[in-house]
Parts: sequence; structure tokens; C-alpha cells
Amino acid sequence: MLIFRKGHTHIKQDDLSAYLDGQISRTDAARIDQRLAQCADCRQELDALRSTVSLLQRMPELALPRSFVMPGPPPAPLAIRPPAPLRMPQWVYSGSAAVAALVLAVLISADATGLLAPDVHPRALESTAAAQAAPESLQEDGVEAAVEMAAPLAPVAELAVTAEKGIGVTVTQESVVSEAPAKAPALRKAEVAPQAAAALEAQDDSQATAPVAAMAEAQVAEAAKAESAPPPQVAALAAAEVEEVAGAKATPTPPVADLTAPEKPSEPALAVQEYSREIPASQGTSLLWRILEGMAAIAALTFLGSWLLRRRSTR
Amino acid sequence: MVSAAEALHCTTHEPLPVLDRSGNTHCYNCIIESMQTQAYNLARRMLDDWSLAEDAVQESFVSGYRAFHQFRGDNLKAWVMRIVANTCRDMLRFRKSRPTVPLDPISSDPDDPTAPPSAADFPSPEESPEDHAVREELARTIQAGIASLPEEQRLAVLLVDVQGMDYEEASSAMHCSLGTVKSRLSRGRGRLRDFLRNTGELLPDLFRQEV
Repeated sequence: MLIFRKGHTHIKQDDLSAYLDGQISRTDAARIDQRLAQCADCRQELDALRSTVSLLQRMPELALPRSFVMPGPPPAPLAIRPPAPLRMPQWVYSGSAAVAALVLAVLISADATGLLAPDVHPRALESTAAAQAAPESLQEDGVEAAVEMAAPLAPVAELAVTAEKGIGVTVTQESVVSEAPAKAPALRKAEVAPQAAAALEAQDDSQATAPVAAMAEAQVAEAAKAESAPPPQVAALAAAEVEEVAGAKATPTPPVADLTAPEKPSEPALAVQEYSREIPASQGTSLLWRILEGMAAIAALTFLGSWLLRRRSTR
Repeated sequence: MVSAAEALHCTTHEPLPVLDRSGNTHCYNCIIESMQTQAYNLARRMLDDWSLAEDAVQESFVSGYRAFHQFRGDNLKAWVMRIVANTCRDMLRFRKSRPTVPLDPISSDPDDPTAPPSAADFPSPEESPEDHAVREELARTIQAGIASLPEEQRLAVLLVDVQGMDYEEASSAMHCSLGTVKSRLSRGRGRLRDFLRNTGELLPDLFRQEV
């Protein structure tokens, strides 16, 4: 197996090295002999290699610091093996965590960018006259949007709490809504996001001048416009914007470390189940989506935890 | 146990009977006695650290004892060297993951203060002190060259050139194919040659002429 490099006649180092050890076929050895006779460079290479090898072979043998003879059979190894599920190599856990996180990110972004919107919103907005059902479903969407946006972060629990507060606020807002019948459907749509509702309340108190309040006002105005000439698309747009506000507000919430976080999303999920009795078709897919997201989140956290455990056990 | 000891004909140490895969009895301490110098030399040159090498050999012999039932009884040297090589790999990986700064890099190697001096440490009567110093310096340079090689090339060079194994044994000890041994050995030798060329002034005339 003698290969000469293209454009060169020099013998490959692999072959020279094997030639030195006599680990080469007779025909190849003959060809190398022939080549060596012709090429001074090759001869020099071989000599350099040969003297390197001879230097290595003449290296002095190091004396033993002590005898390694055993006084008796060595003790059985201590049982410090990690528990069965953590015996696989580290990359299995880190990789699984990464995959689960990626799946979660894809699910959430698909959800947030409105990939599911055709399933949910048009049906929910089909009749603005069916005032009770539609705002409720939208409201739920708002809460969910807030929750799912926060899902990768820890503070889901706190968000859920604020979301519940938001629902409470909207209930109080009902009275305001009934007082202003002209604006009523628009306001109901504004209720979609609890934060927007809270902002509304703040506006009523004329205390807070947060930009969120201003945005909510704008949306109310837009929704009112939608009411005067009610094309469902505009209403949907407004709803989507409100959802965005909810999402935007949810993200900068200061993270609060809460270990019960993964369990919390079940609360809105339950609520969704209640509403899905009223609008089963529209909520069916989104419920499934939420369950998938929850599972991905739990898987990611579990794999992350086991990876950390596995890392610690190898140290 | 006594009958086993008698059967093993051990006189210099405690007999430690072990069974190989085909059920033949060996004395593990006899195996240690016959292999420990080569095992220590391999570990020391692989790890370039005398205290780590001692741990590596100790650990290798213990794990060899536990795994002896897997030994097929064909090539003891290759089998032992494979265990030592694996232990050294693990130690190098561990050392890489948590590097330590030697307290005194000059004295830490190659002279182990606690090791008994070997014959090679003293100048022989016919050798001048200068020659002795040159020879020692050369050994140190070569060891530095070996230490600069990538792990697997270092192992190939040590097993074939320093330990005198043939390609077959080395492939068994390195747990790889003959072709892999051949290429790792060749690349390791090539690198060492370049290394020795670059430190030419310390080397015998042959190298000085080439530079």
C-alpha cells in the first residue's frame, strides 16, 4: 500500500515509519528501497525517523517508586454508583433538556405569532352580540397569553395570581360597563387583557399615567370604532393588539423563584376547560396546545435537573 | 487457599489466585511483579507526573484484579497495558477538567525525591560527568517531546518504540485497528522528529548535521 503524493516523488511518512519496523509488504518494501536509492531527501527523512526511534528505544527505564504487589485481595468497590436513571452519559440529559426547551420555544412562538389564531379568534368573535361568551373567551386568551409568555421564566405562579386579580378587576368593571351602554361591547373587548382592565381602572381613578393605560385607551377607542361599524376583522385586530399588550406586560415582570411554577399553569387550563364547554370547537385545539406546552416545560425542567444531578455525581 | 498457594509456587509474596476466562488459575501478585515496571514506565511517560503515575498503576492493578475473569489468557502484556492506558486516559481527562498549577514546576519532574535512585541516575565509572549531564538532558528533552504529543500518538509511540511492542500487541492495547496504530505511530514519530530537530543543540551529532 504505497502511495506517492501527486507532484512529489517523496515517500509518505506512514510508509517510511512502517518500513522502519518491517511492517510492510515485500513488494512495497522493494519499491521503497528503489525510491530511497533515487531520492536523497527520502533517505534523510528515513534517517531522521530512524534516529528518533532509536533515541526512544534507548530511553532509560524508570525505577519503580515501590512495589505494587498486593498484601491481599483489594476490597470490593464502594457502591457509589449514581441511581439507575442517571447512569447515562451527561450529554444525554443536557441534550434532552435542550430538545425539550427547543420544542417549548417552537410551541410558544407558534402560539404567540398567531399560528393558532384562525382556530380561536374568528369563531370567538363570530357574533359580538353574543357579548357574554366572546369577551370571556378572549379574556381567557389574554390570561393564557400572559401565562404562556411567562412560562419559560419562573414566575408563572405570580403571574397566575395577577391574572386572577385581573379577572376580579374585570368583574368590578362590569358595573362601569353597564353604566356606559354605548361603550359596553368595546369595553368588554378591552377586558380581554386583565392588565388592560386594570389600566382602565387606574384611568378611572385618574391616578396612574402609565403608558399601558394610554394604550388601553387607544384600544378602547378602536374597539368603539369597531362597534359603530362592526367588521369582525377589525375587532379581531383589536383583540390581538390587546393580547400583545398583555404579553408585553407579562414579560418584564420581575422573576420570582417559585418551585411550584410548573404546576400553576393547570389553573388557567382548568378555566379553559370550563369555557370550552361553551365554545368547544375553538378551545379544543388550544387546550391541546397548552397541554403540549406544559409537557414540554416539565420535560425541559426535569432533564435540566437530572443533568445537574448527573454532573454533580461525576464530580 | 494454601493448596492454591502451593500450586502457584509463590515465594516472594502473598499468593493471590485469580481465574481467567477459560478457568485457568494465575497468581495475580506474580502478574503484578512481572508487569509493574512496564506499567509504571508507561503511566509515568503518559502522564508526565510521578505521583499521578503511581496512583494510575495502583488503580490499574486493582481494576485489573476485578476484571481478571475477562482476560482470555492470550497476551498478558497487551491486556495490562490496555488497562493502564485506559486509566491514564481517565486521569488526563480529569486533569484537563480541573487543571492544577504545580507548586514547583522545575523540581516536580522528572525527579521524584522519594523514589529510590536507579542505576541510570548515577554516572557510570567510564562516563564523564559532562556526558552524564548531556545524557540526562537528552532524556529530559525526549520526555518533553513525548509529553507534547497528542494523547493517542503518545500512547502509540510509547507502546511501540519505548515498550517495544509489535503493531499487533499495540492495536490490542490501544483498542484500535492495525492501520490506526500505524498512522498514529507515524504521526507521533514525525512530530517527535520535528521537536528534536528544533531543540537540535542538545542532540547527538546526527541531528546537528541535519539541521
